[in-house]
Amino acid sequence: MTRSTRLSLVIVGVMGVLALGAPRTAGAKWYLLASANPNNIVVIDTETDTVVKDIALEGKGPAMNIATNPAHPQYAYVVNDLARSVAMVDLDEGKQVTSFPLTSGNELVRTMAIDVNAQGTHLFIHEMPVKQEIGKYEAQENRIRVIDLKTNTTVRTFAAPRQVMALASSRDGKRLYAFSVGQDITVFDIEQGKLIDTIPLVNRNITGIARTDGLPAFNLYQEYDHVLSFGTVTVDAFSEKMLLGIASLDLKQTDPQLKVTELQPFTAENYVLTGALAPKTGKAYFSYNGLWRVDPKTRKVEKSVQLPNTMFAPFMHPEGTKLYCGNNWHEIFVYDPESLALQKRIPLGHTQSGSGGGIRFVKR
Amino acid sequence: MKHLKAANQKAEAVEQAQAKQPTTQQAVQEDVVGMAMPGGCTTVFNPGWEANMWGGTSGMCSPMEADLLSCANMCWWPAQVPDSLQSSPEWAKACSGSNQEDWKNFEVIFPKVN
Repeated sequence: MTRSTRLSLVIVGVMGVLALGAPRTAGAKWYLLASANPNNIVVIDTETDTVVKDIALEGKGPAMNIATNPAHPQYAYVVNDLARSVAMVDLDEGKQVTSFPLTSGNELVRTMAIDVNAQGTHLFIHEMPVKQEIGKYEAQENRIRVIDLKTNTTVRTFAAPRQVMALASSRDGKRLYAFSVGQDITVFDIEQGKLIDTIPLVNRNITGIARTDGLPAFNLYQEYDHVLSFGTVTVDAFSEKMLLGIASLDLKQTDPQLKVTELQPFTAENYVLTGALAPKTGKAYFSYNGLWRVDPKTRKVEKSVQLPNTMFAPFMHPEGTKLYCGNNWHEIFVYDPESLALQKRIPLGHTQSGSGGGIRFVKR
Repeated sequence: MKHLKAANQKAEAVEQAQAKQPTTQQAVQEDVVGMAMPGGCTTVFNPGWEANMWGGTSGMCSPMEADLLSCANMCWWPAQVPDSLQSSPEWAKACSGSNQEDWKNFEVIFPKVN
């Protein structure tokens, strides 16, 4: 072997080591994950807005909530099996790796909310157990199951509120936020499995406001630097009229403050399930039968268009370049966030299952 | 004055359950609560599938297929839409929802009579 050949081999070796050691996100791009009937995860390249994988999961569907793993973006977790299991999916291999069944014995357990922390170490599953007895069902206390993703085993469970439709972790991985229908936001210490705080939402103590409702059913937040947002409806204590608004919670903060801005009357004509703040511009987007953008600072509707059909929620691309509408149709619509012009319709091949968390973005 | 009389066992059970309701504010803290903002499901006690929360039809899902599987999969409307989680898990299996013709492939579901 000549000296120059040895030198070449050393250079190639060093390059190989550097390549293996490089962060996975270097040169990575964003993909959109969509859960769909009957039991599929559709992977869309957001540069071309084309389907690059359609992964059929094992067992029964429908595929519903998706939790991405920010630390190990090769993997995603999907609620399926009639909401009784969470499937672990390898997005590179395009197949299901394993599954976490929730039901055992005569205890029927379903879930509507899952989350993986930013460190990728734990999967959280909100569980709604029902004891099945002859001729009756008995509702059990709800709980949150914590699964260690190194060993894929349960490390603890702790009591949780009912009707939880979304979970979200703080960026430091120490706290878990649970969002329930018609309740305040509850905060848990993950290590201790204890309720440590409650953030008033329904019971905001503000004169003139009877109650405020809303939850991040389509909770993209890790994609948006851990700023979580959702649509709200505030009931005026005097007139009983309802106002549509937008709420946000910065989960990078140790003690985040819930910010709620009332924007416009909530009427049949602008009915929505929720809304979201664009991470780059701070503008609020809402969709259902229409799609519109509001500036929370001025409370002015800046742009509004009709949708070809109902789309449950708007999902801003994490880089703010495109706005996707979907979660309940066999297509995802791509809009320009500024002009709200329809740019593309992405056929999925199946209708989306319409659950919460049915669309997520992952950078890989 | 009582205007309604229970006509079957289920209605009697409802009456009995109501009679057992505690009266103090603390005791009536409910396990399951609703929202002022309708999210579209039984868990939030919305008005029916056929009408919006204002009693009209304006602003409802369009077409209704855009909400059909969502309501079934999450068991939002078990009276109006087959309950895909418990009673009729296979009813939508043959329908991908990719085109209008495909919506005909739903199984026909009849309510079970006890």
